[in-house]
Amino acid sequence: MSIAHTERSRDHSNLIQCLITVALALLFVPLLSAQTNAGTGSQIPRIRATGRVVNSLTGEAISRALVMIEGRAQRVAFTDSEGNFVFDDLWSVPLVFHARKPGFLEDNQTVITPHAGESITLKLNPSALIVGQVATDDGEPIESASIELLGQRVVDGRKQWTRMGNASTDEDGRFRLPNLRPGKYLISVGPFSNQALGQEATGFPTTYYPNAPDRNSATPVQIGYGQQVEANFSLTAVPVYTVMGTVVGQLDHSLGVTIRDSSGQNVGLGAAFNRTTGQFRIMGVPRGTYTLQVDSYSPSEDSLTGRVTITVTASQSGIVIPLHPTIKIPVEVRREDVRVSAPPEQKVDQGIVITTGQFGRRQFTDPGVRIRAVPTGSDGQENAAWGEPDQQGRIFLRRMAPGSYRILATPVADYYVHSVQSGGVNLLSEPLVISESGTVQPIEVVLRNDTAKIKGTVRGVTSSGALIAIPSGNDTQSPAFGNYGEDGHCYFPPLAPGTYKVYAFDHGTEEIEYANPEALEEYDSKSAQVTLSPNQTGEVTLDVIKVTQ
Amino acid sequence: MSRVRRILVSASLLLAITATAQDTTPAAVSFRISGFVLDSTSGQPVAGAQVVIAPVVERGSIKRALSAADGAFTFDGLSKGKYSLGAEHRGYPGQGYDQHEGYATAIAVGPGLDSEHIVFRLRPAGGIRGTVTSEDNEPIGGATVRLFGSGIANGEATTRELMTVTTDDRGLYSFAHLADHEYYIAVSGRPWYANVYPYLAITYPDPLEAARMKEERSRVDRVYPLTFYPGTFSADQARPIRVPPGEKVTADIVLQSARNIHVRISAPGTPGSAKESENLVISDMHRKISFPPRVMFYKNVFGTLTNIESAMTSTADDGVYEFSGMPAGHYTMTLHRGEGLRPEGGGITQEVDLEDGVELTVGGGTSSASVSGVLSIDGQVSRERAIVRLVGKGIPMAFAAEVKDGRFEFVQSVPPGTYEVGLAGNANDQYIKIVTATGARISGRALQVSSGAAIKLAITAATGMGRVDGVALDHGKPLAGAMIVLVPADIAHNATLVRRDQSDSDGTFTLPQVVPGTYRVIAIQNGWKLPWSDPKVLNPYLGKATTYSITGGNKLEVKVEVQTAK
Repeated sequence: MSIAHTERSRDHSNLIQCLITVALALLFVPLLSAQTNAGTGSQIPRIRATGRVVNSLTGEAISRALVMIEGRAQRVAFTDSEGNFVFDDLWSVPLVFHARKPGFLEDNQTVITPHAGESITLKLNPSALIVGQVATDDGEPIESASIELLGQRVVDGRKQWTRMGNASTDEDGRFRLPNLRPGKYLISVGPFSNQALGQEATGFPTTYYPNAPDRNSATPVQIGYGQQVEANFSLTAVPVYTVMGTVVGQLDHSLGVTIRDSSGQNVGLGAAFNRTTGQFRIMGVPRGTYTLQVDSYSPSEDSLTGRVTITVTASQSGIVIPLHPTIKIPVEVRREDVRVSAPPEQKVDQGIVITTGQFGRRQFTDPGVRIRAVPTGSDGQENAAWGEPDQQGRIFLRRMAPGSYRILATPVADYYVHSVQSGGVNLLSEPLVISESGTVQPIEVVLRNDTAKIKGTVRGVTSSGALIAIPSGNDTQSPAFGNYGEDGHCYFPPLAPGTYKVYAFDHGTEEIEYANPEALEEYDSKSAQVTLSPNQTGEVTLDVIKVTQ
Repeated sequence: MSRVRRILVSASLLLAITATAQDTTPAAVSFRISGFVLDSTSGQPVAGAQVVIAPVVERGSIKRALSAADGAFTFDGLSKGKYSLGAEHRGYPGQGYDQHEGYATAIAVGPGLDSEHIVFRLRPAGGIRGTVTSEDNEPIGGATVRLFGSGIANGEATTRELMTVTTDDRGLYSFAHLADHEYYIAVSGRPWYANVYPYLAITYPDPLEAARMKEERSRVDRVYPLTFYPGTFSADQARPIRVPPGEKVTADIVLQSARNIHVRISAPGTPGSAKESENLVISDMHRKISFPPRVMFYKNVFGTLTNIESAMTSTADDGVYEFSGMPAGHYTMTLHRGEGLRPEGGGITQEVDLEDGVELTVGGGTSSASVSGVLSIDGQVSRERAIVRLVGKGIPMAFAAEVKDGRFEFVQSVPPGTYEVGLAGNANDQYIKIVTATGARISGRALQVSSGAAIKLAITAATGMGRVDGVALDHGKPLAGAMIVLVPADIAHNATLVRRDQSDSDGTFTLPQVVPGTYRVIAIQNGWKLPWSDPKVLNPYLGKATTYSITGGNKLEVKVEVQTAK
């Protein structure tokens, strides 16, 4: 089983999927621009495009939906009372169509070539809704209770529970979680206490629907398109306690104290923390074993951390959390330009990057690779440490603590990750282990540019879709992602030499557990295997795998 | 005497009540507080109400009881003294006995005092709920709904923003736990279809296509202007909503969308501009970060500046920034330069009329002032930690500066206006004797801040405040529930010297932390709705009041004849 692997730059989100689709459509822009500028007018006909937006479940027309076109043209129109829309003077070229309407999911973008006299049908999937009420076991509604919604999301190729939304109960204890996609969800409420001065403290620990103390024993709520599910909580108060102590060390304004359960999840109980004296107090803690964790959120290099595990059976004070400097690991990146005649424009350049955004303008040196360290057993996102470049292009993994980590490296442009090592340990197949003493060797990343390519065709397509290439018999490389257009032509970025199984899906791969061999088994009959040598191009012919619900 | 400092409402219980200084003398004889909890509207008993008492001098020593089916409650075994009394029940927010603003009537127990026939009229909470829909009769989710409340606060008739909620996916909103007041509702937001081009910005070579794209975009580039119930853009024309106790009032609002304007603002000293270097900071050793200006747009709503949500939609390398998210109209615009949320570079306030496409160069408005100074206490440099505060009328935020080694400097620059200078923090026993200023005019404690001023304050403070204990009498008999006001000379410029209380069940009251000076004490029955901060309002009551000179560290005992509110 691969512990570390490289990853192609792909974020499994609707946004990226949309952008890829749009990018496909934009491939046509230069062609059309040239034709338009030819002088006598475009050779591409302009047509009147008409269509209708309907509910995918009922077939009913959807009025006042917004229909959008992106790609060669950016156009918008609302549907009329019959769900009809019209676009005049539209080029008959591949364009990205999608529609929006509150109460429906925004998962319908598709590339369509409009033709005169042909009506386009856009189907909107109605979203689902979870409603419920939170009350005490004697029926008293609980107001302002925090509700958290966890949904299944594929992270690094495997399904994991991820926070998808939240809500708060109203004065009648009721809550709503609208605009949901079909799938399984966990719902939790709490924790909170009704601890008042002079009163014996009781409270409500985090409770998962229907009445479970943790995720593992919770019952997921299954919903489909357009469904409404009710999930009510009846909570029993339990004794809660106050935990007090002192953070010892060099205190600064960026320190924060959190209390985490045995799985590392933040329990969600606020900590009163005096950053001058280091004293902290957490109220409303039910019985159990917890880790008190102190972290510095300062961007400074001298970040501090501390953690202590406690078992709570009564209120306790005098807990001491010593602070220690976090660990900083240098990452050395070496590029091996082994390709005989690499085109100049494909060469990775360590240039100065300036980004300007809402929070200001940032200037840094592009190191040519993105690297992150994910605690072993973690979900890969929340607690990951990202390599940060300095202005000389040197990368460091900072704010690290003792433990075991998967190292994930993402090359940019026309390179692949050939090796990742630390002190002789191959981090593409073994974890990086930082001992309690904090001793760790630098990480060396070798990038090579003798990449290979995949070309091919997908049969039976009606619209664009997604491709995955899974390394076969080689656990040191990660899957590669591509896509195909409405014409079935495949596109993959350059990838590492090796043998791959290639799959073509009719939809985005957000919900494909590509890192789970068992999950991929059902698609194997439609996959194709290709072996790629350095600097070579392999060809595949694929059948589309329909996963759209 | 009792002063409610805090009402803590939890899921199950009310916790109150603290007070200043009144002895609770232990005695061999024990006493009782008892009575009935009734609905203030219907007069019916409230069963199962949580009733709490606490000695006014020992806040943490709380006793609790549940009211019986007939609303009866009893606390036995009490020592002589005064007790704060509060109650709560579902549908009845936590409240002190006969509470007005932050004051309530404490129950005095002891020989000859009747503490066993209390009628606690519990006020049920009301609420406002409604649906926000568009001109197309579609529910608007995610709209911002603001609740404004009208009433007397600190002796001033004000209408101020109380809270904000967001409509749900059905366009529904709800404000619960509202007291019997007049309220106003205002809603703003953006249509669901407004933000359809967040990521792509493609320049097309075809002018026809570009023009069509621009025209079609304008159809969806809309906002919902701040709209007051029942459907007006003017706060002056807003309809007040009366919320009777225990009732849920419905206030549905239909929003009419308006064009979202895009304005370009150039601000010298911001990233990309010629003076960018003024604005750069090095946040850590690796990255050079410069921050854009923080620009806010406000509308004057009921005399207070209310922030109108906007967003920076485009940044440029030439120091010009585009903002959008609001309709055309008149705004008060503020601009701060500096690092993110710490606008250390100073601020500018400017009145602007905005319409789509307008380009503004910041300048010509008023600039915030820098304020610093020194604090001496009893003739010595202050070594204690203290906070100097500036509280401005009609200005949505208060300003505070920490005193270190006798010096202070307000990190945030202060917009022009009139501010009251005060001390806070650990300076409870300290009071301001004299404030002098260079760079600004000051009368009493009222500081006039003008545009761009560099103001130096010299605050002379002293320790040792006085106290007034008294009893309110109605034709010679103690009267509970009267509003007690300690009125300083020249109240117009010394509003912070006013002290108030509510007379307790035995008619007594305490006015703590009185700054030495000359005062009159008045007691007014049913006076809680008087806008007493206006000197003209109090004048009719001052004629019968005795003038007292109060010195530091001393306690004055007075008897005050109650006057009825006119």
